Amino acid sequence: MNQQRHHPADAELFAHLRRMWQQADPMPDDLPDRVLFALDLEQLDMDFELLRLVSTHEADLSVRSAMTDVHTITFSGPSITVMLRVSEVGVGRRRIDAWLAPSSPLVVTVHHAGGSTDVDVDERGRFVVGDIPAGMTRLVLTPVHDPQAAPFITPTVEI
Amino acid sequence: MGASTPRPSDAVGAATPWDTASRCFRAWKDGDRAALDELVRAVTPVLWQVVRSYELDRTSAEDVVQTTWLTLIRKSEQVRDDQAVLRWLTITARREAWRVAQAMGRADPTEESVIETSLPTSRSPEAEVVESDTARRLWSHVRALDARCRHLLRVVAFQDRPDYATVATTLNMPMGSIGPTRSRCLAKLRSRMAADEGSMR
Repeated sequence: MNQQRHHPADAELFAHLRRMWQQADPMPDDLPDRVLFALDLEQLDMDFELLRLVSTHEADLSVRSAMTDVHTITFSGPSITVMLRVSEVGVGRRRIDAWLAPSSPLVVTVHHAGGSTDVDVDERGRFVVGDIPAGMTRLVLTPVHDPQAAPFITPTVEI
Repeated sequence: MGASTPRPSDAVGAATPWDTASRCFRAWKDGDRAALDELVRAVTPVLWQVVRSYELDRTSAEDVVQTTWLTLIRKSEQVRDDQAVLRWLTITARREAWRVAQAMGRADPTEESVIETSLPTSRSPEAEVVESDTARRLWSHVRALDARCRHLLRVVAFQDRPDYATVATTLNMPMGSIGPTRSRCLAKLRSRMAADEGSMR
C-alpha cells in the first residue's frame, strides 16, 4: 500500500532498484542476531556491569593438548575476571571450561545460537558448559545470594 | 527463531517489511516478546540499505542499525501510531547515519567496488542469473548517476513514504528541491535505460 505513494511507473522502477541494492549490498547475515542480543540486554531492565573483552587468543601450545582447536577468552571488570577456555567437541559444537576470580556464587547463563544454557559456578570458581553450538555467545553471570547485586554481562563473542 | 521470517520482497503477494513491521510492533507492545524477533528480522535489511546510502563503512553501518533499534526500545512510547513504526525507524536510522557520516567526514568509497563484486556470478542458479543480469545492468546505469542522485534514489526506494523534511536535512538540500531532484534523477536513469535496448521498463 505504501509503495503506491509513488507514481505507479516509479513504483515499479523503485522495486527494481530495491532488488538491485539488496542483491548488491546485502546486510551481514548475522546482523539481526546481534541486534537481538543487544535488545535482550536492554530489556533486562536492570543495572548490570558490562565486562570488557581483555584478550582472545589461541591457547598456549606449551600445554600440549589433544584438542585441535582451543582458544582462551578473558573478560574483566572492576570486581571480577572470567577466563574461558573454548574447545571444539564436534563439528560446530563447543565446550567451555571457565574460571572466575574472585570466586563467588553465581549462576551463569550462556546465550548461544541454540538458545541459552544455565550452569552454576562451583565453590572454586569454576564452571563448565559441555556442548553448545558454535557461534555468537554472551555470558550473563547473576549473583545467587544477593538479589540486589547487578549481574555481570560480557560482550558478544564468536566461539 | 525458527518461524518463517518474511524477507523484504517485492514479489507479488509477499508480505513487505511495511506490513510486517506494524503488525509485529503492535504485538510486541501487547507483550509478545517473540514479535520483536520477527520485527527485527523483517526490518533490519531495510535499515541496512537506508544507512548504507550514507556511504558509511560496513562496521559503522552496523553500529547505526543497532543504535536505531536500541532507540526504539527505549522510546517506544514515542511511536504513537503502530502503522508508523517503520517510518519512525527509517527516520531514526537516517538521522543517526547522517550524524555519524558528518562526524567521520563521510569518507568511505562504499559503493562501487563492493557492489560490483557482490552481485551474483554466472555460477548462480538460472533464475538468479536472469535477475542478477537485470540488477547488474541497472547498477551500471545507477552508477553513472551523480552521487546525490544515487543517494536520494536509494533512500527513497527504501522509504515507505518519502519524508522530504528529513531527506532535505540529511542530504543538505533545500526541501523544495527534493521533489524536482528526485524527478530529475529518475528521468536520467530512465533515459539511460531506454538507450540500453531491451532493459526493463
